[in-house]
This record gives sequence, structure tokens and C-alpha cells, in this order.
Amino acid sequence: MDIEKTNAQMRKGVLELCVLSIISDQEVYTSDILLSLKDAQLLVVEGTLYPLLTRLKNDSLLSYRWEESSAGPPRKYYSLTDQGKEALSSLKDTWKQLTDSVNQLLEPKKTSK
Amino acid sequence: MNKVLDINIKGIIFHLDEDAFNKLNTYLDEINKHFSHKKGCDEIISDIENRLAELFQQKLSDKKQVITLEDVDEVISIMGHPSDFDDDSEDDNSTISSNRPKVKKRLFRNIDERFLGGVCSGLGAYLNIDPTWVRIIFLLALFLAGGSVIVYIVLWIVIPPARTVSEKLEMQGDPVTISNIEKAFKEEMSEIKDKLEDLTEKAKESFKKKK
Repeated sequence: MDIEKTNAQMRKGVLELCVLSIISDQEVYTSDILLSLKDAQLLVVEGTLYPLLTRLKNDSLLSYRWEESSAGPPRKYYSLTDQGKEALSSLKDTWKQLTDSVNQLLEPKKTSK
Repeated sequence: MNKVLDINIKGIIFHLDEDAFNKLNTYLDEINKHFSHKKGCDEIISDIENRLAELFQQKLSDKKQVITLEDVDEVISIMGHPSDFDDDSEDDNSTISSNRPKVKKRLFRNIDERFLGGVCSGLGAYLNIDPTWVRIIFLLALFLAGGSVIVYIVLWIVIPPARTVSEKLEMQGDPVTISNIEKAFKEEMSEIKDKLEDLTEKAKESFKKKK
């Protein structure tokens, strides 16, 4: 079994949830999303994010607006649509259930006294 | 002394030395190729270019006006190579399936849907036409020349029957993969189940009649 691949897939699986969650707090600019994800060590290369953002936008979970920047190219500011908010809360529920169940499984069995 | 070349990324002009320029050009080509068949490719590429421009700008200062090969290498390592992106969108699957190599079809006798020996049925599967047409042609040939009986018998002898699941898949031209074998197996099982249910129904009926 390719452990590296499984690890990467696990991370990839939660990436959508994380991106939606980062955007839910406030309108954010692509580089802010990148920074948060990198801080959390969820993103290895930045290139992974762009196809994901475009897909979420095409699925109308995200919307964005352009803003001119004094230093550099114009920036895209993303925010969640109503559909995106629904998707986020559904993903969050799943995540909570999943972590609970997995943690329960992973915990060393307590010997009952 | 290296030659300095200009590149325009998203309307911003950058000066790159020659090595850096070549490297960046290859990289951009790589990205373009990777996304060219994807939905929303223009947007993804434009987003990436935006970010590249931003990263390059951070590399420049009043004292440093030219982007070097090291800068390009660093930026590429931040952005990653297309082979690392490997996004999981549904479009991916569609491109995989459309790019999937055609499996070589093989001629088998289709003994599951046979009239006599499954020759016409197998030919139909091989030529992708309704086996009934093949049968009609054979019958017509029988009335016209009569040689079709011999042809049929020879084919019956020469063409192997499709017995195993993988042979059946090859007959239909489906690739022999685990999931396809599983699918075929399930179909077969449900057929058997239907037949069994049929039989039990009949048995019950005849039992009732006897009573």
C-alpha cells in the first residue's frame, strides 16, 4: 500500500472543508487562503488551490469580486454564497461525526477495572 | 554576463535573465498543457499567473530589478509542478475515461445469447451491430448460395466461445479491469437470481395445481 498516497488523499479530502471554513469568516483574498492553509500545514504546493477554487466557484459555492491592488496585479476576494454556507455546515457535521468515530477507534482500549 | 529578457505576466513587465526566462517559459507551458483540457482552464491559469506575478514582485526591490534563475526555482517550488496538483475534480475522471486506451476487441462466440452456436451474436458484438442483422444476412446467404451453412460451421469450429468474464469483456470491447469484472459478475449473479426466482415461482404454481 502506498502510504504517501493515502496521506495525501486524506489531506485532500478535508481541503474543501478547510477552504470553505476560511472563507466563511470574512471575505478573503487568495493569498490569505494560501497563508492559512500553509500555516495549518494542509497545503504542500500552492498550485493545488486554484483548480479547487475554480471548481467551488463553478459549483456556485463561492463568489468573488476583483479589487485593484496598488502593488501588483488585481486581487480576487472570495466569499461564500448561500449554497456555500449550506455546504459548509453539512461538511462540518460530517467532519465532527467522522473525527468522533475515528478518535474513538484510535483511542487505546481502556481496560475496565 | 547574462542576457536579460522581458516577460509580461498579467500586464506587469518583469525582467528575467536568460536562464530564468527559459525555465519560466517551460513551466508556464507545462501548466498550460496540464489544464488545457479541463473545465475552467482559462480561469485557473489566469489565477496562477496572477499569483506568479505577485510572488515575483516580492522578489524585487529597488536594488534588485532582474529575476534570476534562483528566484524562478523558488517560486516554482512554492507553486508546485502540475504533476503535484493532481486535483480530484470530477472533470478528471472524464478526461481519464476519454483518454483511456481502447481495448482490443477479440472475436468470440457469444454463447450467452446464442441461437445456434453464438457465431452471429459474437460477430454482432465484434462489429458493433445487432446480431439479428447478422443472422438475417446468414439466412439470406443460405437461400442465395447455400454456402453459408458451411461458413457458419467453420466459424463455429474456429471461433472460441467467450466463457470467462474477461473473455466476455474482450468480446464487448470493454477494458478488463477489476471493477468491470465485478460489474459483469454482479450482472450475471442477478440474472441467476432472477432465473432461480422464476423457477421457484413455477415450482410453487405447479405444486399448487397438483394440490
